[in-house]
Amino acid sequence: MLKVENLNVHYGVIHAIEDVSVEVNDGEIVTLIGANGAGKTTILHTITGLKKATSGKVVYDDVDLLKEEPSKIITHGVAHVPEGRHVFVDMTVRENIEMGAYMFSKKDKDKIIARMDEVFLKFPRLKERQSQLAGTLSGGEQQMLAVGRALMADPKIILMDEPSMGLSPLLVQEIFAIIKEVNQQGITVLLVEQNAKMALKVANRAYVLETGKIKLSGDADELLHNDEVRKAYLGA
Amino acid sequence: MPKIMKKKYLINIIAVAVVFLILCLLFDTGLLGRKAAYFNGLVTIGMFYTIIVCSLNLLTGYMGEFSLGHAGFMSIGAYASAIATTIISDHVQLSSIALYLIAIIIGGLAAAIIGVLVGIPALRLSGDYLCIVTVAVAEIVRVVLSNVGIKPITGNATFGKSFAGIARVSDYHYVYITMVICIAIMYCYIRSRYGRALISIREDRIAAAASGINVTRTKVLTFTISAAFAGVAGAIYAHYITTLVPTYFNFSKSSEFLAIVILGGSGSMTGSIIAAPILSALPQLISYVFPDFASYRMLIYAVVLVVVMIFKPTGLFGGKEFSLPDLILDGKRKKKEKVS
Repeated sequence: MLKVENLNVHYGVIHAIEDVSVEVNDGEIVTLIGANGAGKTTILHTITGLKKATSGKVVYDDVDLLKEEPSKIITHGVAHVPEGRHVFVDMTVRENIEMGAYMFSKKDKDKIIARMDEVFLKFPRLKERQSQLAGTLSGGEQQMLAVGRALMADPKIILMDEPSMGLSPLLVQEIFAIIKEVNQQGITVLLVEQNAKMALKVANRAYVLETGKIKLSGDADELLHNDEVRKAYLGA
Repeated sequence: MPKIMKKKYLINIIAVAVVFLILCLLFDTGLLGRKAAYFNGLVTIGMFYTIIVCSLNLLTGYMGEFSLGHAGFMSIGAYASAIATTIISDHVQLSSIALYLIAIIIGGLAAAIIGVLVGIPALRLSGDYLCIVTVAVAEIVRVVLSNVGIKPITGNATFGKSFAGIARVSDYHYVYITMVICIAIMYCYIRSRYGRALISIREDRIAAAASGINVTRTKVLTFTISAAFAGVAGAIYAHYITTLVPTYFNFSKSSEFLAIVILGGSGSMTGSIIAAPILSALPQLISYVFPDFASYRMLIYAVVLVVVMIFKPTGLFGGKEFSLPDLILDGKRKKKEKVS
């Protein structure tokens, strides 16, 4: 279980995250929705150590993640798919996927090969293009590559930052189908999204973030029909 | 090891040996006559240029950070090794190869230590900011060396504004072997797990960190290795020229190294290996014909750099590697295909 308690994060004097508490139970899909600059990405970055917290607690399976080096966090089973499809553009697709297994050592060769087969099974298009440079992939393929790379580390929970950003509606559907599929295999998902409608449809529970504070939280279905949420985020 | 890899290694080793034999043939048999010493010098200078340019390429091409202070690390290696060998040869009589080995090891270590000390705080920065720090470090080293005088260590060596009387042990045979080993180590580093991590940091720092790569440690490690090889090049330089003047290691020397990296193609080791000896020897050869050329050298570098940036912004090799085994083996395969 991932537990974020009374988290505070500052960018200089700007108080970006104020007393945020989020809980993600094993096997769930939980989504954080909110407008631009609400602090969604900051929360994910703080969980994986890319941004330092001012105060608060981030605990995953009894491990205090705030005290861990960013490079060690993935070894606890927490994978992060950063916003905006951060793939290694001058490396091939295969090399990108191999980078996801960086935490394994040479002894785990069999495991790495097995994981790679699994990722290629899930994303046949990546297998077709494995020797192509990642920079030449389309936006949707790059997003799949980013997810595939995260899956290489055999994570227990996966943090996804705006996976639908800049994708066509059809591809957005495809990406959300992948998220569901990943979750059905027993991987917990913490999803950050601007596309609130899609996110709420796929998630079990949701938190609504507004300028660094949790405004609302609850069952995703409930929030989907909540008047306030509908007005502010769903445009209806 | 797969058979094809063995074949490739063999071809590379043969190629390295052939170049070595050609050099021996040119300089040891008196084929060049009275000019042998002059060309020998050009080749030796070309070889330590190759080491330092490759080490800088490690930063520029693979880490994606610019250093305009490599002359500083070179001077640390040069001075440290020169002081060490002068003191040692004062007390014990050593063969030239032993003295040479001590020189490059001390030179490399001294520069590596300074590299770590500078790297740990400086590599929190990146881009222009890091570049400014490297300039500052090189300037600090140069100014300290120009101003701090140490009393003569031995009878025939002076230290202070300049340092003369260093043992001349950088024989081109040794230097050539050193160069090959240095390049092999750097090449293996890039192809290793750490090298891959390094390239992924250059490509995308956030994604690299999210994949479990310790960004700072990888960068400091690379910076240290790069500094160490710059120190080795400095040690070779000191024991070839035998006189050190701090002003040699100035800003324009650092920018000259960077210019060679970019002309050869940053991110291409073979680019550096080919560009470094040519560009270090070319000014000398031209000034052989036009004595005034030396003073216009930097000007011409600048013009060439602008032209290359316009017509081939990625440099001569543009991040690609030239591989002799691939060339030979591919050629064979094509021939076979034609026959069948």
